[in-house]
Amino acid sequence: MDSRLLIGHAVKVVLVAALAGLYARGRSGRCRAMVAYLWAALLGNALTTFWPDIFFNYAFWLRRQAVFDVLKLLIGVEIAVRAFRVFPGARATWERLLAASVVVATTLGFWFLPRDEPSGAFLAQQPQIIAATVWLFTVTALVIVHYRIPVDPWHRAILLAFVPYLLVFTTAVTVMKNLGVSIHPAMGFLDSSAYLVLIGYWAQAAWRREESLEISPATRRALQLEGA
Amino acid sequence: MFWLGLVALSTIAVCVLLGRHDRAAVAREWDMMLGGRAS
Repeated sequence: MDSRLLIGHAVKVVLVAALAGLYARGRSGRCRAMVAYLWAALLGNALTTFWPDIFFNYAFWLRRQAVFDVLKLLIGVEIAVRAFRVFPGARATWERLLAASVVVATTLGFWFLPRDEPSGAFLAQQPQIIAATVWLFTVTALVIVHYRIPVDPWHRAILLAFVPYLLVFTTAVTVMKNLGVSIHPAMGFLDSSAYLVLIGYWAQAAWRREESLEISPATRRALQLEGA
Repeated sequence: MFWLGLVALSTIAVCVLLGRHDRAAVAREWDMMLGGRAS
C-alpha cells in the first residue's frame, strides 16, 4: 500500500479518536469551530482515501484547503472570544492588536499579491493565509500571557499544536512553490506525517482528564471556570 | 520566504508563551488577588 494512503488511514482513525474524546469528555462545546474543523478533516480524508480516483486531485485539495483556511480563522477568533469573555481589558487589547494586524496584513497581502501565476494563485497565497492565521494565534497567546488568563487546557492544546504544524505546512508549500512538481511526493509525505502527529496530540488532549483547580467557589464563578 | 520567516517566528513565540503557561498557578493567583471578593 502507498505510504501516503497508509498515513491517510491512520489520520482517519486518530481523527475519530479525537472527536470521540471531545464528545466523551464533554469538551465538544468548548470550541465549536474546532469540532467543525475535525469533522471537515474527517470527511475530506474519507473522500480522498476511499475514492482516490475521484477526490485525490489538486482541484479537490484546493477546495478542501479553502474550507480549512476559513475554519482555522474561526478557531482563532472563537478561542479568543471565549478566553477573554470575562476579561474586558484583555479583549479590548486583543481587538486593537487584531485591527492593527488586519491593516498591516491587508497592505502586505496586496503588496505581495502574485501577478504572474493566476492558475496557482491559491497555492501561491497559502503562506500569506497561514501567516495571518498563525499571527491571530500569536496575538491571542500574547494577550493570554500578558493578562494572566487561565485559558482552557483544550484551547491551549489547539494553539500549541496547530502553530508548529502550520510551520511544517508553510515550509512544504514554499518548497513546492520554489522547486516545482518533482518535490511534491516528498513534501506531501512530510505534511501528512506532521498532520498525523498533530491529530494524535489533539486526540490525547481531548481524552485527558480535567485538572482540578484549588480555588474558592467564588473565584471559580467569577472566572467562569465551573467546568474545571 | 518572508511569510515562512514570519510563521517561524510566530511559532517560536506561541510555543514559548503557551508552553510555560500554568493554568492552575494562574487560577491560584486570581484566587489570592480576588480573596473572596469575587461574586
